[in-house]
Order: sequence, then C-alpha cells, then structure tokens
Amino acid sequence: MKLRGKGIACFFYGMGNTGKPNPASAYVELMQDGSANIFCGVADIGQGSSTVMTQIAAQELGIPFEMVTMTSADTGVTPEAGVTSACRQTFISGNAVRLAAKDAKEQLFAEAAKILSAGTEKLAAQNGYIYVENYPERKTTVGEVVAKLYKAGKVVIGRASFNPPIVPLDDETGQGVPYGVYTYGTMVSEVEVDTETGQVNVLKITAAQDAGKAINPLNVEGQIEGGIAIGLGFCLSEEIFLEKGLIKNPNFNEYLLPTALDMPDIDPIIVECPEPIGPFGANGVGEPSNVPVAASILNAIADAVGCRVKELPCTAERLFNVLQQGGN
Amino acid sequence: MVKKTINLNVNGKQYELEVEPDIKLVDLIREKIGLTGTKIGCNNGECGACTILLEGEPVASCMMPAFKAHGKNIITVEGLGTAQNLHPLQKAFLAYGAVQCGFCTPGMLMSAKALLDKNLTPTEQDIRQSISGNLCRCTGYKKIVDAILAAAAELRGEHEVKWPVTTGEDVVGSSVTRVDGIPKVTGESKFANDYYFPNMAYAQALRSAHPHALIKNIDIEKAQALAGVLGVYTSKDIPGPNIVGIMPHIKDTPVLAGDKVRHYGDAVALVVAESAEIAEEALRMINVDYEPLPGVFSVEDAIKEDAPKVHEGGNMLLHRKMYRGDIEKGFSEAAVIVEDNFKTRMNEHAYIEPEAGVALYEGGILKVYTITQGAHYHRGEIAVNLKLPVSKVRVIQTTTGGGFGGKIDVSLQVLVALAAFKTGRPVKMAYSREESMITSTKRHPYYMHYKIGARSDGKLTAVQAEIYGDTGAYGSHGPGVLTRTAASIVGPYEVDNLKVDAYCVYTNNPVAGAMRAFGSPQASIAYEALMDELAQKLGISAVEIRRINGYKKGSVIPTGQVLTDGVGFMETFERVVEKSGFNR
Amino acid sequence: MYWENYYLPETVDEVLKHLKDSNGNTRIMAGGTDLMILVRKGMVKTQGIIDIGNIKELKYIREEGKYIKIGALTTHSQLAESALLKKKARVLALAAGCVGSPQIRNAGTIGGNIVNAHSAADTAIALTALNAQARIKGPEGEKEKPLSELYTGVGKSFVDPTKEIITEFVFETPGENESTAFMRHAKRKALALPILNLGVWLKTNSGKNILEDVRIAVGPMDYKPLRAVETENMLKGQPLTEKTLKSAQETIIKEIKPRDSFQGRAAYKTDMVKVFLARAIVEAVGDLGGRIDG
Repeated sequence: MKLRGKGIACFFYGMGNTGKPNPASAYVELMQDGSANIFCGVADIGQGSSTVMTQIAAQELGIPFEMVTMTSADTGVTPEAGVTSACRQTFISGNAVRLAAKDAKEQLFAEAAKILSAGTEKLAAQNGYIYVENYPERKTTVGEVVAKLYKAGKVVIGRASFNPPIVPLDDETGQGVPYGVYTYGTMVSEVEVDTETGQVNVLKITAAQDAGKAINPLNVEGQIEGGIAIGLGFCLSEEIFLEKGLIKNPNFNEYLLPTALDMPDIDPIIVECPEPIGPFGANGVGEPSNVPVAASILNAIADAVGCRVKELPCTAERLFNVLQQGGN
Repeated sequence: MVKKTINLNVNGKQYELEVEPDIKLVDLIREKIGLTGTKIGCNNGECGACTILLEGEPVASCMMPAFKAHGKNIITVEGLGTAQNLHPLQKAFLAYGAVQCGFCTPGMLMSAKALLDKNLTPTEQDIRQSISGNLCRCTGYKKIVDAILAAAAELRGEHEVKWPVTTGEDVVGSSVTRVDGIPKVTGESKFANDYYFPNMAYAQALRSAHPHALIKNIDIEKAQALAGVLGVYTSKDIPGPNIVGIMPHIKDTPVLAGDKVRHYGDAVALVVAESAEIAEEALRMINVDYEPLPGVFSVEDAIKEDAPKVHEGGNMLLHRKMYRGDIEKGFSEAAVIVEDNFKTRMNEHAYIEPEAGVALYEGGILKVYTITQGAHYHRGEIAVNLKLPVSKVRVIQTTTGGGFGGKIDVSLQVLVALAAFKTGRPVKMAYSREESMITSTKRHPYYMHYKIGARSDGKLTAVQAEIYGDTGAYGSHGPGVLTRTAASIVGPYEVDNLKVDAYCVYTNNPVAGAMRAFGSPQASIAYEALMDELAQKLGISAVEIRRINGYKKGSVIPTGQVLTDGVGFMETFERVVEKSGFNR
Repeated sequence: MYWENYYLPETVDEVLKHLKDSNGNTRIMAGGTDLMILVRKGMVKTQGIIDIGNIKELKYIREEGKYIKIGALTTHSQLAESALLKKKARVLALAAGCVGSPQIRNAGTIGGNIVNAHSAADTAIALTALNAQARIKGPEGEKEKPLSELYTGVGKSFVDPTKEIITEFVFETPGENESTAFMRHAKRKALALPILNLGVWLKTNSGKNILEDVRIAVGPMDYKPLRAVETENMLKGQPLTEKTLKSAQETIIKEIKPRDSFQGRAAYKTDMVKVFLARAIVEAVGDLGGRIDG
C-alpha cells in the first residue's frame, strides 16, 4: 500500500561562532577609472560569498557591479575574515566589506563635497556618479574624484573590521548572547511511503527562510535547495558503516548521497524581514536549510503511517521494521 | 615500460601521443593534453565528475583506459563553448544558478549535452535520469534541471536564455551571475589538483593501521632507499609543536602522530617522491611497530569510569550546561509531558572535490595553494608547526569544490607545506576519495534524550534534554557543535524553563567536526517529533502548537537573549503553511 | 602500473590468436567498468589487455527464428533502449537500465558483466530468468553453456578471460502467453547496488488464469543468480490467485540464502523477496492482460 503524509519542521539559526568573538576585515581600493578592488579573506567554497561581497561593495560605493573585482582568501593579499562556517560570511564579512566600502566612499565624498559645493551628508552615489540628492544634475563621477585625490597625492583605500555583538556564555548556566543575528525558517515535506517495503519517496518540499535581505535571491534559493539535498541524504540514505572505528564504506558506491532522481520538487520561498545590523538588512542563509529536512520528512512519514523511526538514517529497512512491529 | 602511440581527436583537434599503455583516459586528458576541466572526484565511476563524451556518449573517463579512445572522438567541457562564445547550456547554467562550487559542473554539462544532442524536448524526468550519474552536493539539482530545460528551449529555437543577467538600479537584491561563474562552466577554473609546476614532486601520507595504539617505532629505511623517494618524514621532523585544532583552546590533533594513534585517519609518516605512484609504493615499505591499545567506539563505552582514555585528560571533552528558569516548576505546570530518545549517525560532507594542495618554498616564502574554508586559519597552523613567522606563509585558496564544514580543519595543508619546506621542491598532495572519507571530519553522531512539557493550551512549560555527541578521536569543532545544539535545543519555540546537558565525548571513531548547521539537524528530529506528539496529546493541530510557541519579537532564547528586531520566523511559518497546504 | 601491453583487435579470431600467443598473461577487457576497479585494487593482475571494444561483429541484438541473440559487446544502454527487448524480453531491457549510471551503462557490456560474475548483476538476473545460453569461443573451439553454469564461486566465472571469450547470449523469444518482469529494490534511485533484484519469466494458459510454467531468478542471494526452483515447481499448474502467491512467498523464503550487507540485513531481504516476487508475477501476468484473483 502507498500512503501519503505531510510533515512540518522549523528552525532558528544564529550567525557566527557561538558566544565568541569572530571578526572579519576587508580593504577596498578605488581606481581612477571608477572601478574598485575588494580584498577580503573570506573563502568562497561554492556558496557564492565572492559574488555577494562584490554586490555589497558595488551597492555601497554606488558603482556598477561589473566595475568591482573581488580578491578572496589569499593570505598574502587579503586581510583575515575568519573561517567560512557558522553561516557567518554574508553577515560578518559582508559587514566588513560594506564598512570598508563606506570608509572609501567617505573619503570620496569629502572631496566630492568640495567639487559639488554641498555637504557630504547631501551626497549620494549611484551607477558610478556622485551627485547631490534631489539635484541629480549636480554630479561628478567616482573616477574623477579618485583621480583628483590621486593628483593631490592621496590613494583611496577603505578598510574595516567587524565583529558581531556577543556576550560569552556562562559556564554554569549557558546564559549569554551567543550570536549577533539569527535566521529563521519553516519547511513542509510531502512523502509517499510504500508500506510493504518501507521505501520513502519524498514528493515535494516547500521551504521558506528569512534572509533579512536577499543580496542575491537566486543564490539564496540555491542555498535553500542545496541544504535540502544534504538534509534528505542525512534523513534517508546516508550511512557510514563503522567497525571498531574503521569506515567500511569509504566510497560513493555505498555512502549514498542523493542523486538527481532522489530529489523532490522544491519550492523555495524567500522571506525578507530586515536585520538592523546586517549589511543592507541581510543575515546569513547558507547552512540552516538542512536543519528541518529530516525532521519534516520524519513527521510526514509519521503522518502517513502512524509511526516513526527515531534513528537516522530512516532507511526503508528501519521503517519497515517499525511498521512490522505495529508502530510505536 | 614501452610507450605506445595513441591517436585521438579531442574537441576537434587531432592528437598523436606516445603514452604508457596503462594510462587512464582521465589522466591522458588532464596531464598529457593539459585539459584540466575534466575532474576526478572518486576515481571509481561513482560520481560523474570525470564525464566526457566518447563518440557522443557520456562515459566515466576515470574508469577507462585511454586506449579505449584510440581512433575516436572525445569532447570535454573545453569543447563545449568558450568564455567569448558560450554554449546555450553554459549560459543557462549561469543564468539559472546551476553552478555553485563548480566541481561537478563540467561532467554535468557533458551529460546534459549528450541528452540534448539526442532529445531537444526532454521532460524533467528525462533530465534527471540523464544526470543521475553526476553527483552534485551543492545545488539539490533543481536549478540544474531548470537550466537544462532552458537550454533545450534555446536550442529548439524557441526563446534564448537571458544572459548575462542585468542588474536594476540596485545591485543588492539582483540575481547577478556569480563572479566565478564563467570559468566554472568553461572548465578554466583551477581547483587545487589542477595546479602543475615544473619539477613538481608528490606527497602521500601513511595512515594508522589501528584505531588506538602506541607507536613504538617507525622504520623508514627501506622506503627512504627506494629510487625516486625524496624524503620520508615522521613526527620528529616537524620543527614546531606538531599540533593543530580549529578551536584555540583545544589543540589536540597531531600533524603526524608521534607516540600514539587515536583513529584510523591519523597520519604517521609522510613520503615525498618523484611521482604519486612511487610515493604510494614507498608507503608500503614503511614498518610501524604498534602496541595496540583497547579502544572505545561508542559514547556509552567512552563515558564509563574505567574506559580506555583517548586523551590524557579523559574522554569527556565538554559538558555544556544550559539552565534557565525552574525546570521542576515548569514540568509541574505541564498538562502533558512527552519524553523520548533519538539517535543519529555519522554523516560525510561528501564534497565532490577531494582534498588537494600544492606547496612551494620560494624566496623564503612558503606558498600553499589549497582547498580551504579558512586560508588564514590554515596559515597559522602551518607557520606554528614549521616554526616560520606567520608572514612567511602564504595560503592561497584555490577554487574549492564544496566544503560544508569539512574543509575547515587542517587536512593536508601542514603536510604538503612540510614536504615543500623539507625538499625545496614544489609538492602536490591529493587525497583519493577513500583517504578523504577516512581522514576528514564528520557530522557528530548524537544520542538524545528529550522531555518536553506543555500546558493544555499548547504553551511549552519546560524542556529537559541530555545530548551526547561522539566527537571521535579529536575535538575539532565538537564543543562548538554541542554548544550550538544547547543554544537551540527546541528550535524556534520559546520555553521559560529548561535544563540542557550537552556532552562532547572522545572515542576512537573518525573525527566529527563542523558540518553544515552544526548540531542542529540532529536536535531538530527530536524536538519536532515531540512537538507533533504534544499537539496530538493536547488535541490541537501541529500548526497551532507551533504558532503558539514560535519566536516573535521579544521572545527569549535558551541563553536568555531577547530577540529584538528582524525576527522573521512567523512569516516563514505562515507562508509555508499556506503554500504547501499543510493543514493538520 | 597496471599492465604493459594493450591490444585492440578487430575480430574474434584476432582475439583468440592473442590469447593463445600470450599464454595466460593477457586478459580480455570489454567495457572495462568492472575490470578497472579490480585491477586498481590489485584483485586482478595481468601483463596485458586485449581490449575487445572495437570488435563490431559482437555488437547486435537480433531475433533469429525462435531465438533472440545478443552480441557480448552490446552495452547496457543498447539493451535498455532496444525496441525488440522492450517488446519481447522486457526483463532484460529493464535490468540493463538499472545498472549503475548512464556513464556506466554506455561503457559496460553484457558480456563483461557476466564474466565478472557478480551474483547480483542485473543483466545476469534477467538472463537467468530467460534461461539464456552463453556461446563461448576458446582454443578448443566453440561451446554453449547455460548462464547458471557460468558461476563457479564468489566472483569466479567458468569463462577464463585469459583463454576464451563469450561471444553471444541466446534465449528463446518469449511467445504467446509468455511474459517477463524485473524488480529491483535499492537504497537510492541510481548508482546503487541492489538490496534485491528479481527477474521472472512466466507462461500462462490461454485463459490467463493458470500458471503453466515459470522461472524466477533472484540476487544477491548466492554466489550466482539464484533460480528459485522449488518455488517454480510449486507454482507450475497453479491458478493465478492470491493464495497461490502466498504459497509462493512462503516457498521462496526457504530456498534463498540472503546475507547481511550494507544494502540490508538478511531478514529484511527475506521479507522483500516475498514482496517483489508477488509484484513481479502480478506485473508479468498483468502484461498478458491477466490478473490475480482474490
């Protein structure tokens, strides 16, 4: 018999190392043609931090995305940004890059204010131009200002370091402020269970995550979907067989991560509840989409068949055995 | 060995090469022809990263003798399109976000091309079937499927893939194409194993033969004498303290095990040789005299008073307490109390790119090109252990094929640096899939006991939990993982009274460390199951109990922190409930 | 170093000559997908390889008289996509389509899969259900062997690839009132070894309500594809009813020998054999337009 069910699960997830300082830093260099180099130690491991940092710098500087180049994770060139972990890079390194860009921009505005005869607080930058707010015709370009400063013997370099606001946890009670900001999410999984075999087929997953502000919506969706794949494997198929500490299946033939055929349709939903201390309201999104996957699938299975496996992975065999015992 | 002539056409160009008769096709393509877009992920035909087209059919080039391609036509990712003239598939992969780390991308593109060469109107199922031999750990495949559908539409002449993506007034909030995208779809991206330097040597590590043993002696004489071996090194050859660890207060992992091994993944010796094959042969000539010790392979055994000690200080690495409110009062106020045990197993990160790195010692600077999630962290460990000023070590992250937490800890970085430091040669070290899985960190297996109470209206009154995490032979990020679990012990549900005891325990199992979402997926299966059970027992819906307890502005989390702004939980909840039609 | 010599003959006669000349030091490679793993792990050692991939005369699927004949170098992809097999011997097309991944199916061949002697090779299960014969050419000429006799031990084949070559598989084309089915249960939908695979060939009476004859092959249960002979005998002549299926399920679990593996425990495999045997018979009978009576 094939039975269907739906399960729900939720998460909240803090950005950064728990209750510990974990700063990031960045430099921004502006060139006379109005382009910019960012230097930041953040390691892009595929999640897209270099793209996000480039977007943040371009937005803050008011120059086109294509004019910004990111150099990342080269200790001979880039300042430290901490490890790519704990969902921290968009929030922490993103803030460092934004603040470094702001530092550079303030140097520009100080000069531009003289050129445009306006207070720096009246200035804005967009698409490579610096202009007086409400008077877009009173403008100059980023490149011209950089060039002018250069002729005066000044190179425009912005720099910044950012550390999330935390309070270390008390050893005896665990009380404190573990993280500066949080992301939140909810997931519903829909499954079909073959009750004769215990085989679970995940049909659909609907997942929403609060990105604060999605710096790059396509990338946010990619993080949600990728996290779901890792969670699905964790739940249903991935198992290391240990024999007195030795991994007996150190290969992809017997350690089974999901293939394209194992993954369900995914409906990713981005929620944007601005984070006041995030760069442009953003918080991190990379890690936690895999938090509720197994839980929502297990709840869906329980909804379908009335009993649950309490031991992962929930292989067909484990579920079959629970079903045979008449549930729990 | 007598070389043999092979003729083949690669990407429209004819090659005639003198090669060893046993060379594999992937090695011919990468090392003799120099096209490194084709990747090696498992060397066993199980991941698809090495997929190329042989006479138009996708095949695993890691499983194929090169001579199978004699007289035949091959297409690799480099033959698909160039940066200046991208193939519709390449454009679509960029436009639809089908590329993340990029390591599976070349093989994925080849499988997709083979499909579209035969079928320009594939269904989603056709596509999933055609890429079912290409593992991707980053994307969940959805965007890859979308991209292939879009490329098919362009190739049918229906509508072009919209690329490049243009930004609006605001760059932030635009789905601009990733900055490292183009080289990832053309095969130009250089991953660590794609670096070759003149005069490059190869390093390989000897791994422990026991899960727990004293090392009485290591005899390297024979290995050293083997022709082509440049050096064999043991713990004695490490200038510095021979210790690493991602958490500054828990440096407990030797670079090369000296007096003792604590799991099968420990390296006990390092060979540097003219070729990887010679290095491998030399490994077999090293004799290690072990005195096996009793081992502990479960948390249950490890916490017994008379358990063998994995480390001097005992097996309990951390007891994280998180106590708030009055737990007894909380349970006394509960109308219903639910309680259960849950268990999860070890998980592999399974990034498709295995660990690799190349080190060069030039002009007093030790340069290391390597996979990493933290170049600065790795730099520090190299400098300390080689006794070099930190500024004399330069770690350059190469394009990294996924990490998910597994490339945070030091893997081969100090070893390959040591090899270059000692020999003065550029040295490459690249793990096989097996070595990667045996040595790398894992997701912590958890043993969880939960007890949750709620009032008759569904409001949670108390949570008590004991969590045991098996961190294996070394601490890695273990204490951080268990602490994070404690701090989010019931997810986004508010409770005033809680008592959490989370323990991080050493065993002789593989090391567990950071893995995407740090201890949260494990806890989630427990508290979400119990939330459903509470709802059932209280006769309210699964939706209602979560709505009542879900975090809102002003909610207090287990550490006592008050959530102020930016609390988007209820919005995610209501939108998913609505869109998924969840109604129980 | 794996091997020193590599030959690419174009005819079977050339293969036989190479084999004879090399005196057991050289072995045949077909698709290479299994052999490459064995060589790399040091489980197979050889001085030379005779790559038979270019022998066109061994690549065919055709119907000749009462028989379907398949050249040993036919790839799994070709089997899976064969219109002839899909129509007349679906068990083999379906089985071939389950092997590994598209990449493996494009390279791996039916002959190589059989010589490699994995008891759970999907095509071996199908060929066993079809009661196929293998044609083998060697120094003493040509011989035919039923598939079930090609297995001499765990991973050991009757065919010695340093001396002889499988050229063809032959089986009787399923005729009127005859049908086949293939079932596979695995932990993942691609690239996974089976927990269980099962092939069935059966023949009903013209009323499609009595099972006249049946062959059942199951893996991985033994060192070779297991023919459930007692279950077959029990089923012959029985009406197609739920009761008959129940009896078959009870019979088959007595004659299989499952073992614990990473794919599943023996007890689970036993339970699954019951499920998939019933499903296979229902599907094969359904294909003929018949059904199982309650």
